[in-house]
Amino acid sequence: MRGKRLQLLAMVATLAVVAAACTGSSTKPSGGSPSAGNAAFTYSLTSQVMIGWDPSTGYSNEIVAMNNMYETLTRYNPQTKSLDPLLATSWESSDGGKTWTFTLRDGVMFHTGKPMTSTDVKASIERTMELNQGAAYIWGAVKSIDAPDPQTVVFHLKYSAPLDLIASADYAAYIFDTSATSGDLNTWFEQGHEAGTGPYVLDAWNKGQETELRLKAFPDYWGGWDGSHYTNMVFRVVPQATTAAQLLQSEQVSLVERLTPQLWQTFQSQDGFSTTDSSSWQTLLAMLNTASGPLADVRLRQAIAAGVDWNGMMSALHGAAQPLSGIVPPGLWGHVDGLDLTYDAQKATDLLKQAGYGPGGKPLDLTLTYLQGDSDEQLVASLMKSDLAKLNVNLDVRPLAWPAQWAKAKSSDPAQHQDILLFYWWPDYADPYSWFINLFHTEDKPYFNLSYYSDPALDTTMNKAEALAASDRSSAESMYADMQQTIAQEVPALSIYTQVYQRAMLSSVGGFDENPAYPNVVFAYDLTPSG
Amino acid sequence: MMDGSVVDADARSGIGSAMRRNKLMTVGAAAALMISVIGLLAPLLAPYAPDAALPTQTLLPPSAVHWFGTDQLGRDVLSRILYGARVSPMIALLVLFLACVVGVPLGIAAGYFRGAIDDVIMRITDVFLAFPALLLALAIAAVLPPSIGSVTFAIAITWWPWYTRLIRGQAASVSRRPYVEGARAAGVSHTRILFRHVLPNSLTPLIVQVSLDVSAVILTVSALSFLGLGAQDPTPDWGLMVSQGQQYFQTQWWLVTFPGIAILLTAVAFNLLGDGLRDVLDPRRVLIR
Amino acid sequence: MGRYLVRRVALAILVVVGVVVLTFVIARVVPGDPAVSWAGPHASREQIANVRHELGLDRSLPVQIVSYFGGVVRGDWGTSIHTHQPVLSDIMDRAPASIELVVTAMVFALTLAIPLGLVSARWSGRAPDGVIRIGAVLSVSMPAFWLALILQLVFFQRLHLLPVAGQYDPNLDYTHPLTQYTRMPAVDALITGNWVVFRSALSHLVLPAIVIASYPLGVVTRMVRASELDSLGEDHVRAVRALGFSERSVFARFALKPALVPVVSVIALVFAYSLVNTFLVESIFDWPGLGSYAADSISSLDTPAIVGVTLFIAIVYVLANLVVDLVQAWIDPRIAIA
Repeated sequence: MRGKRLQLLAMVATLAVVAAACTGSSTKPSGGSPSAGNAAFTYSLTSQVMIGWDPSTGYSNEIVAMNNMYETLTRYNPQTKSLDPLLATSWESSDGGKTWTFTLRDGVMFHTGKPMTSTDVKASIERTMELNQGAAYIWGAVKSIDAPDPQTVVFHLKYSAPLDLIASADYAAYIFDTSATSGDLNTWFEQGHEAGTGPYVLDAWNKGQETELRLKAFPDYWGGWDGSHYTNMVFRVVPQATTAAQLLQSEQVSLVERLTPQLWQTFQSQDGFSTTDSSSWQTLLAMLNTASGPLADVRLRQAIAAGVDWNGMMSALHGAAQPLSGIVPPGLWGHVDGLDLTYDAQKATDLLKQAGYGPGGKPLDLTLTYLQGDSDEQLVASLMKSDLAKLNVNLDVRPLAWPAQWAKAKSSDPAQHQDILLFYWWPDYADPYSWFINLFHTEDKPYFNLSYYSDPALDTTMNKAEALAASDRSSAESMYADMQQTIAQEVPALSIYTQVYQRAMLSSVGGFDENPAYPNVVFAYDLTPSG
Repeated sequence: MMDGSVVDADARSGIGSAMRRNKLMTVGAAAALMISVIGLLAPLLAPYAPDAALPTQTLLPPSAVHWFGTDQLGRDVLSRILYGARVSPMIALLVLFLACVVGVPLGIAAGYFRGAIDDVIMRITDVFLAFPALLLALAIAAVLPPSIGSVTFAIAITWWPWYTRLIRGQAASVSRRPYVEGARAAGVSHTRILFRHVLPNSLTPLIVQVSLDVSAVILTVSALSFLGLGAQDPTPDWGLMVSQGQQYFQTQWWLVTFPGIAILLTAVAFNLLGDGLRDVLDPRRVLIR
Repeated sequence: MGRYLVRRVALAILVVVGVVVLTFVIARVVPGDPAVSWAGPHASREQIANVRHELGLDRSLPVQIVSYFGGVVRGDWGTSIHTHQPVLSDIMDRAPASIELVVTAMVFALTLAIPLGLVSARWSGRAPDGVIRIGAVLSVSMPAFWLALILQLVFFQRLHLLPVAGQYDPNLDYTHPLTQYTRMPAVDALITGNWVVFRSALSHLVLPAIVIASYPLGVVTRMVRASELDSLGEDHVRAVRALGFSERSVFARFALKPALVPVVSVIALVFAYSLVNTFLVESIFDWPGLGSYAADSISSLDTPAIVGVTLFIAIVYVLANLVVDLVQAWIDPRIAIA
């Protein structure tokens, strides 16, 4: 579910038959873990964690746990904006980015007890490609994989692609033991098993319960357990921010995924707690209908862009979001400054007048759809409605569940299409391509291009930019800058804001660093418990 | 001596409680009237427009300028509560009207004609009454797109069988009275009998039941709105306001507190009014719902 | 009595059949396509068509209703869209937590309501009666979801007295592991003598139980008061009183028992009502029962789950009513004849 993965857990793209009855038994954490009380890191999340258990197909909330049980070949480092070694210690590309060779880390063990070799990497990624679900499309460029020796993997590509970035993806890039069971691997995974190399192994899974998942330290982890680490990780599902705040207050949880800005602020000044906030890559976009309805007129799209007090909106969001310049969020390569939305009521009025609308003219009636239950989207929609009303634009705001919102948007009947659609988008790996190929590339049948936008020149440029991403980053960056300029002119979409991750935690949690490439993932192994 | 004390005790408790009941009923009636007046005059009473969003004035605590503070969009909470007197109470009245329109004719048909019609109608009401009212309303509202219309429909559909039951009992007993049987034997038309005798005799218990049900329906409407199944923003519905204020209740207590008090007071007012009416008009009825 | 029993059971079965039909109708008026939500947003047209076929949505309505009915009887209540688990097993997983909560609330409400109702009737028209009656009106007029928030605000936020989320502190699992038998932590802790968890479980129960108890408390208090006043006015009580029995023994021995009979009849009703109230209350208290399952199902438009919970509670309610009727007929055989 691309745009809405974490928010809309109900709509996961797995058709897997999930085995029942896992919950009836009394799965308990294996007692006796040393000084378990303070060595447990409890992460409070707003929704169910393990939507699926298959590391090939998981495309939802489960990544917050999977990234602690599984590892990828590389990991994106937001500080250096480059890749750190993980299961691969080094890599290089040749043949103009069409051949990639990865050297694997020595002495890595799977939780199954088997040592990891190049054949496992090959088998894992081939299985992911073969199942072709979830985010498997990221491997689309791969033609074949070779394992010439146990420490070396070679990828042969159909076309040039940044495979080192792809290998760091937050979905569909995990390496696992494909021989973990003698039975059917798909079924085995979905029964709630894992076969990763990560620092933590599954301890107990209580599906649907509040304390849904417990992980414990994997003794044979290649990184070792010297120094200060949490030996247990607990995932607690707490849908209400107010409840999560109360649990943090009473020290029943260590870190809260998401609070309201107001609640988050209460922890800012409190002894015993610490807070972080950092800009994410989760962008809120308003897709404007460029194909049918009044907004097919570019002047009206520009008028909408100028007709809303975007700064006022930011102040009403109280720090939960920050304005976004262009499509690509700051912190990711390809970001450009100077393309912020600006409020200019006069300009909006003039543009509306030119098109025959505006104050004193005929009223402009538009429909906007947003995700039912998302209070931030609701706030944005309400404020847009109230500002545009002053310009004689009637915004009919409709909250819809995602299936209904999406069905309407991609209906084969253009009369069904909304004029404006709000939704979130973020990339599957640290690359701006995701926004462009999914949201703005010409589509015969609408899928995620919910602006119904078509610009052949833009289509060509984005494919060129992706091919150059690994070999000639600066050319690629300037192409992305040009494309964002075009989008700011043509306004197929308004990039309203990027979400700000506001985390609150016990001050005994040390070493927490946000990594926007892995949304809401806490790498518990990297934390240092104190006190 | 013994005899006298019995009479005394009875008389005392009878008169005393009747007075007390009427006192409470008076309070209830006055409050219900006040809520109706507030609903009617909301545009005159409210200091601000209920949907005037002001992004720079969000989440302000109660003050002389905004007596009940402002909400997450900078709207005046007091104004929204005053306008809210037009929403759930109106939905409740509409629900009860619809339930009567459907339920009363069916009840009369069942009670007056008896036989197969009676059996069919009563078995259908049995099925509907096999659900707790809130549950059935919830299930229906949950599968419809969220709106005031859906909520009205969902609750009305769960409410009519109660009136069918009630009216059927009345109609059955009236139609067996000698003068009605006499009229029928004399060849007076069904329509005339229904309008002259059956309907008027069923009115009193109906009025009592409807007045007792107002607060139950208001609570049901608020519950559905709270779950997001009813009125949608920017409609100033009390249940919706509590629901939207929920995420702020620890930090901005006024967002849930005031609309909740509005629901509570309205429900209390109509409960007292209904109780009083029952005591005065239909003292034998015992309420359970 | 035998004939009454047969007739009453037959009627209950008929009603359950009707309930199943009605829930089917609700399930099929859904706007939007269940197959689309089930298949997920990545699904292609073919995948959606396959799902539609798998879920039987491509068959005619009569065929669907027959197979739905067969499924309900066999225990196949469909598969939840948001948990991807069989609905019936989800319900069975969640029911114990709700039963723990509702039963606690009912016990609490009844132990308080019966004495209050009697006090109110005994001093009818005087000050205690007035206070109790106003209290009862308040408690039946209380929006449960609002009361839940206000209690949290007062008892957690301001007074720091009681916990507000979950059934017990899960960190205790590491220090005092709880063996589960009933999936009701308070009960499990009690039977295994795990006092630390027991205390934690009780303190977690207090606030949600008070909220759920509010409505039954008001209804039963009013009911007890009314029927006690009624039976005080009955001939046999007048006669007893005339014979010189003390006011206290008239009240307790002769008027009390008949007064409590009608109370039995509302218990099934308020139990079912309370079960539905958990829809509003459980998610506020993060209580992992049927109510939060239903609320989640509603917010994710999970029709099979919504219909399943509805069907489940309706069946519980029909059975509870059946039991109550039979018990009443057994106490008072006149009911069976009438």
